[in-house]
Amino acid sequence: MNYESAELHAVTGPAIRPGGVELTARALEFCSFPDSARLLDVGCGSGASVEYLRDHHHLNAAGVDMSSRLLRDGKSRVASLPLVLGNAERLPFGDESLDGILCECVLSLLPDAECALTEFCRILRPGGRLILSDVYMRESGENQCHGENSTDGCLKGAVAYPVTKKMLEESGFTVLFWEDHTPLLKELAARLVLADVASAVFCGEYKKAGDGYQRPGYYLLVARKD
Amino acid sequence: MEKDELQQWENKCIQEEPPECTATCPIHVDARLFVKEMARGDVDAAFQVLARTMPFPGILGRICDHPCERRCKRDQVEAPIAIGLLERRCVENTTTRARIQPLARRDKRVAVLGGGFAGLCAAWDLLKKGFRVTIVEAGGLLGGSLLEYPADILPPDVVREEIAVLETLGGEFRYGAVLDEAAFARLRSEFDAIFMDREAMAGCDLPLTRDDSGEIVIDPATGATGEDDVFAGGGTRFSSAFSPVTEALHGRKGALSIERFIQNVQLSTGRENEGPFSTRLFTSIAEIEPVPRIIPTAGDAGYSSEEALAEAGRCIQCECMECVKVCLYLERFEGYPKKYARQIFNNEYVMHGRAHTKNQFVNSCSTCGLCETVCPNDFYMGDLCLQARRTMNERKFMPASFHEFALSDMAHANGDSFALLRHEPGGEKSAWLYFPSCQLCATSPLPVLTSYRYLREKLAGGVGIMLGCCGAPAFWAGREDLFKASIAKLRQQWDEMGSPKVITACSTCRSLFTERIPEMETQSIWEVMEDIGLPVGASSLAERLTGSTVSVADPCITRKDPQTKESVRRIIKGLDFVVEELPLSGEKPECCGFGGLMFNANPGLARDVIAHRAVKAGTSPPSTVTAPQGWFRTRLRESADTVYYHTKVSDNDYIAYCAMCRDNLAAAGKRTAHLLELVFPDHDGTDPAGRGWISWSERRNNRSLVRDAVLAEHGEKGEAQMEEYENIKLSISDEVRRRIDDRRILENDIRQVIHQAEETGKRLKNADTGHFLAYQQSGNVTFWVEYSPADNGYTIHNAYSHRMQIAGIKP
Amino acid sequence: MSNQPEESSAWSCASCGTPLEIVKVAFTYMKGNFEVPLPACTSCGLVMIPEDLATGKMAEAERILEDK
Repeated sequence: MNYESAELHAVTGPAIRPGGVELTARALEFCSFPDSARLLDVGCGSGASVEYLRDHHHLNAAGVDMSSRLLRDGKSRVASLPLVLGNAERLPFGDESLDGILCECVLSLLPDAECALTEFCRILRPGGRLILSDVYMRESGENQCHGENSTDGCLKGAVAYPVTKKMLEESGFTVLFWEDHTPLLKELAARLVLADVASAVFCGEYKKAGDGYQRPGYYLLVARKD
Repeated sequence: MEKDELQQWENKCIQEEPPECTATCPIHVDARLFVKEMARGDVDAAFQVLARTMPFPGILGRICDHPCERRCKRDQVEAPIAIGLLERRCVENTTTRARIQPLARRDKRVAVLGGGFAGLCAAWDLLKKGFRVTIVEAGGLLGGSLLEYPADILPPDVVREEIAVLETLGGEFRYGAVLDEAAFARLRSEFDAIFMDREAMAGCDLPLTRDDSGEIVIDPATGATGEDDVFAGGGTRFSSAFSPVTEALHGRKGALSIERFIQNVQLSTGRENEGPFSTRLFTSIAEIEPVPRIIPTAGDAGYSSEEALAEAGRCIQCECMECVKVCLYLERFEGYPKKYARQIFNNEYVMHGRAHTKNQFVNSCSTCGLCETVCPNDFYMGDLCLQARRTMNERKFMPASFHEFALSDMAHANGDSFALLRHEPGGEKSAWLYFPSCQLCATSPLPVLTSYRYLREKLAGGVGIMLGCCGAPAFWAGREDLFKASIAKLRQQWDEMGSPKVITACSTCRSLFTERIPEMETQSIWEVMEDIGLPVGASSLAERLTGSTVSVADPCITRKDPQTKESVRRIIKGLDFVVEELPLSGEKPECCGFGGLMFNANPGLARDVIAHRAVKAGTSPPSTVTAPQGWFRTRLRESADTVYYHTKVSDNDYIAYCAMCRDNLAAAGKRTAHLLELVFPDHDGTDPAGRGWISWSERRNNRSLVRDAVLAEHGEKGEAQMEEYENIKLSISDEVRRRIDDRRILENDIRQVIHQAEETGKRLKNADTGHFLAYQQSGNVTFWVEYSPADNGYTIHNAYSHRMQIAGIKP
Repeated sequence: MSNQPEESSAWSCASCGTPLEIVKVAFTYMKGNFEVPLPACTSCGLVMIPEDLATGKMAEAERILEDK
């Protein structure tokens, strides 16, 4: 699935994920960051969340993404957005320098999620918050390792929640809160079908995953660095 | 579903139980998988299967005494698979080695006394577990009885190479040891635990508890001796014959006991499946053709590559799957009951209480119970699915579209256009109450009326009539609320009528009444017919069917009702028909796609299910029928080149006694007559088996017909008000009629759209065809109709619908 | 985009006679909100949903939302 495609943006808007900023807002409710808290949006794309966090919540938010094109789109929308080019496995931030990290609809796409989580742990101050939202597999099936289900593309890394939980705990996090938001994923999938965008791709994957036992869902999670 | 409920369900399904070979193998080698890889010609993969379980695969693979063969299912066909010979072929020809990954080293030391095979296997396991192992051997060589094998069976350098692995794993060796009491005591203080190989200990005098014949007492479950740090095993050559795999078991058992002893854990818990046990797996050999066992032409030298392939190819890859073999639904979802139960539980329970049950899956079961009948443990998917449906409804997660149409049909049957309760005309009490069922009235209105008249003629005490729905759709939809209300109302009405004996014309109605209103006495109309005799003129119908030989299509609900089945057959034979039974009849009737509301929740599956029963493989469906997906599919899962199942569709005309079975079979192109139409024939010569499908709209009209006819006999007029739009005349071609019916669009739905469009003028017009297109949302569905005015009515060109609701045009 | 079938250009509003224009039509289903560009009469509010959309992509979207 080409996240940079114009067709996709036409359906999802600048926040390319189920629910847009709705879930971000929900997570923030739970975190109560003070004003000017330092946050990083990992996989920020063109910076929709960063903008939202800065404008609506007065947080000192920055974003990092691998796509220079999306970053450029963001900067052309709002020149002053602090967006940098980077990679989740080696983030350009000092140890224990951040109060919070957002990683929305990105973790399951990373080739080495564990490495990324270790990085997150490194740059978060103790007690800092990690906000994760992502696809997951609603049924715990035979595949229990990240990156190993039968689909390709954006559902590739989806695993059952217990796997993610274990990985977080092993990386030094405690899960404070987990919520299913699968209706948002379904809504996005339905929108993509109607718009005929990637219907052979995302929805093919979605349906292929659905035909077996592994049905995709979407979750929101907040964890604390121990 | 609660956790303990899940365990009960899972326990019933034996599909995951090990095959006979694995269960009988003392160390539980996955012989089935091993043979499968050998059949594929992948010797290295086969070797890895052995290496996963076997200690010293190069040795054991050559000399194993294969007790597995004694229990191989093929022995019941002609001869067991030569697993032993295949193992030899494998280990002699593999190019890979066993990959051994020992655990982290522990600072605990174990001594193995005696280098016989049991001792060596104990050492193997202990080293893999990370213990520091020293093998103490009285002689100069390790191997014991292994060294007595002829070189061409077990070459000495193979033995040396295999045993050398122990050294690679860090094992230490002491040769020429003297094992007297003092030495033994020293070893016990030097090491944390001891394993004794009995073969090597024969004749020594160590101070261990002995039995009356002087043998050391060894606990068969744990290998423990009278001393808590000393374990023993092996020595099979002393009791019967040297059994390499039993020696391996003893070594393994001892190693595990030593590990538990050192960790201070209970020795004996959870070890029931160590060593050979009886498996619960059931594997049918009913359709296996005998194929003689391959004898190696090279004699003792073993199999050639081709011979091994052929012998491995004989393996039937034991598994149960009895229910999947007979059920298209179970096969289509690619699982088996134990797996399905787990899925449903995981979705209901684990996901924080949100019932994201795999909706289509639980709603597609017809609840026919064929699975229960063929399952050795009576696993009934219907129960599992109905429970899941109830849970989904309770938690408000059941999407409406699965059952909406069926429930609205039930509401219609219980509504003003059909529901009725009357004593017989001119009568004031009823000793009997005729409940012909909503579907029978919908499809055979005239025979219902004629049969009612006949019952009144022949039975004394008054025969009342109750028109309505028994509530089965609500039951199947998991709508306990609706179902309970429906049954309560029925019960109350029956009570008001004086609690008469109820005559049912539908087996489903009868079974629900029997279960939910046990105080109600019911009889099927067939039993009543046998008592009062058939009407004159019934038997003249025989010549209207294709021949005098027929087959009976029993509805699935009668699998537990042999009385009705026999009664029906007596009546059919009384009409001078010869009955030829279908293969899956008796206790194993199949679903027609209506039960469990399969037709509503999963129409594609329902079409395939009925096609499976109605159309012979390789023939074409009738042109009036839209061929569903997979029409020609007659083979289910294949395993090891065996075609599992294929319904034998008979050429005879069928006689059904369930309205939906008849209609569904007929719609699929199979000539099927309803028994009531043969007993109460139409006098204008129509062929009751030639009647094809009937639309949902016609069904509703027929129900009203029955109601109006009964009321007429009472001198009453039907009070049901006709809506204005119901007077609109529609002209629909057969093709369009069929299409809109498949889409479950009723003619009245179409009339409502047109009525509104013509009144308001809100419609679209096509410049090329001149057709109008209009739409209207009615309940959850928006209906679209393409039409043109025709003489005093409208011609319908097309109709379709969707559930997404139009919210408006965005500025 | 491919939501525009060939024959949609032949349809016009019979109520006011104006040809249809492509506009964004809002839909709701299962608490979700959706938008599809479709031919419609902006004065009467009549929308044109072709059969293949209703039985094709809409049905598919409905199934996804119903979790079928």
